Amino acid sequence: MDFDLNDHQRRRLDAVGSLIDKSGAAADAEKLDKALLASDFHRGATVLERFLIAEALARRGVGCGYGLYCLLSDLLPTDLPAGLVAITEANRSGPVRFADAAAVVVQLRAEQATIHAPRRDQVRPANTTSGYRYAHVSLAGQSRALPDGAGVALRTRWRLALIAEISGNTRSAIGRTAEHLRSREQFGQPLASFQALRHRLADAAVSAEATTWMGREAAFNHDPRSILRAAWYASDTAAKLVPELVQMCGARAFTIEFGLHTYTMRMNCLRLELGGIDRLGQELAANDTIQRIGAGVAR
Amino acid sequence: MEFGWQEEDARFRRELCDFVRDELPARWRDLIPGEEPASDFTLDFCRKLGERGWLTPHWPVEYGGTDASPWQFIILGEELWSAGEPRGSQYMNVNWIGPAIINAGTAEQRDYHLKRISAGEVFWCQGFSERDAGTDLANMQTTAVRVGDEYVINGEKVWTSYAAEAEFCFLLARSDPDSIGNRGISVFLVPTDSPGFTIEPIPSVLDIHEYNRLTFDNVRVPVSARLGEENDGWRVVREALSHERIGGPRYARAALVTERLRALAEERGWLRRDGIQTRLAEAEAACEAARLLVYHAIHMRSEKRPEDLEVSLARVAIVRCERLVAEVALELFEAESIELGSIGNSQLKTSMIAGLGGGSVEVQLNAIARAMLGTTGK
Repeated sequence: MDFDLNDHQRRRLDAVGSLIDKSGAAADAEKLDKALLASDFHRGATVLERFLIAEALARRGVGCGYGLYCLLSDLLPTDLPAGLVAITEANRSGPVRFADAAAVVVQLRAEQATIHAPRRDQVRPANTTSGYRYAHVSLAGQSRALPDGAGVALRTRWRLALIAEISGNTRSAIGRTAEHLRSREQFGQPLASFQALRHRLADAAVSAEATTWMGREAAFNHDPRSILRAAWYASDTAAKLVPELVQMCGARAFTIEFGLHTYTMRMNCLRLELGGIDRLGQELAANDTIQRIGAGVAR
Repeated sequence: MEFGWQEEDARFRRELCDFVRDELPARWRDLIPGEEPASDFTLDFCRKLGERGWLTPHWPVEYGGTDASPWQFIILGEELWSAGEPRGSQYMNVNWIGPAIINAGTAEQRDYHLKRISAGEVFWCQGFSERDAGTDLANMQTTAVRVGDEYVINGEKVWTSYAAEAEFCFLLARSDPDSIGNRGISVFLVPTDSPGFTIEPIPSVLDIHEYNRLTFDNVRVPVSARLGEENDGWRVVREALSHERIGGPRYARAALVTERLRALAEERGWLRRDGIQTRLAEAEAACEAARLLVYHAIHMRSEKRPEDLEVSLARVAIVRCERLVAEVALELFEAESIELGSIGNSQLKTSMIAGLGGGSVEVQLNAIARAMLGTTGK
């Protein structure tokens, strides 16, 4: 049990950080993704290291697709065209993150997974304020099926990516809110001197910390139930904290110049992509039944 | 970063689980920690733990410990707390009263008290809170006036757990009559059978836990009963309690209760009731969140780094999980929970204690906010 980064993990994350720094604050996500994909940061990385990369990118406020790519790429065939990967569920509607920038789109249907390379005319960019590129995509036409069970493995990794990204965005959103509470004065004193706000921020910090550590542990252990629990917690945290942090920052939270939206809008769409707490709660219940049947335990 | 157990810690848990399975009657699994705080059984159980060096594994060897890692300390807590806490009130001696004596005690105090604590032979209680000094503990008014080689103690302590069975009281009293706040306070190790020391239960709705009022009417103790320097008690206690603010690993037991609630909901066909699966998931995830935040704090301790922030985060998460598990139990069983002894009723009571026992959880929120925003927000 060691909650500190080891040298190997630190070097990998430092390298990611250096590349982002070199690209400059204004670098667009597309350029950054190209540079990250050309790097070897993900090669030979453990699942936890891939999770940490996705988390670090989100924390830096970078809306690129490399974090998701990191978590999915080692489960995909090696002969796919180079580029980002988008992923979606067959039974869910709505735009797909990175579908207009990805080389391939993975579609999950229960335990099955298929890979698609949609034509340009099958992809239509979506109009959002999410902070990510989203597109509607039609996956009719040729596809390549992955071996049985690939759907489960890929869904698990997708969830880990989403947890990592929620974790990174949440921590930065809380940092930005704390900065505002310290600097903004009302009624002749900083907002941070009001206990009502201090406690709300502290409560938010507990949720953010727990989201991070549950995700990291789940990525390390790769236990399906831990991942589901971490997904539930991350989805709930994002759902609760977006309005909470916006409220603490006031109307300026809506503005681009203030910058909180970079994180909150992403948190919101990430949790919608992850699934709501009712859906994930049902899965946990089903997983419990399966586990008990598998273990032959009657309680 | 990695989340696996060292072999020695995993082995310790296995051996401890075997021991608990062999030594603990099945009825203990249904007890709420604190429900059986002190009895011949708990004394005997603690002696057996003590014989194996498992009562105080994290203490230095010279004081009856085995110099084990803080991880074994938390493993011990998890396994015993979730089994109804068969150490009874001894967890206090082990977690912070003993360590306070190690840090601040004289050779005689260490020799007498630590041996008995690590052998599992003695119960203690703590005399901290007063009517007007709860969360604001430094406002205490109980006095200890030096008269020759003795101190004469007068005052009243309230909401004291486990006092009826305790042999000693770890008492905070104001030894400088002109002092205010946290200065001028000393710690005394007071035998509960001292003349003038009376203990009476305070009636409460908490059937699972007993609270007491301690009255000190000219209680005389020798100077040798003072722990640490005169008027330096606040520092002694602050240091000792810094390792105790997490409290019992309530999340371990709460997770078991959640598992049990899920099985009962399935048996009774309640899983399809509105929102039940979501609430069960919420409770389960909250227990897991608390576990990981406690582990983070233990990691900081094992690395000998400041752990204040991590402990506060963990404590808030523990209170949350206890409350959420109580909420699920009450939702599931509805009116069945009105009856004392039912799962819902007991879980409600233990969750009410969670936010207050060992200090109000708002103090932890203040501490987290202080770390993030500074003292005044400037």
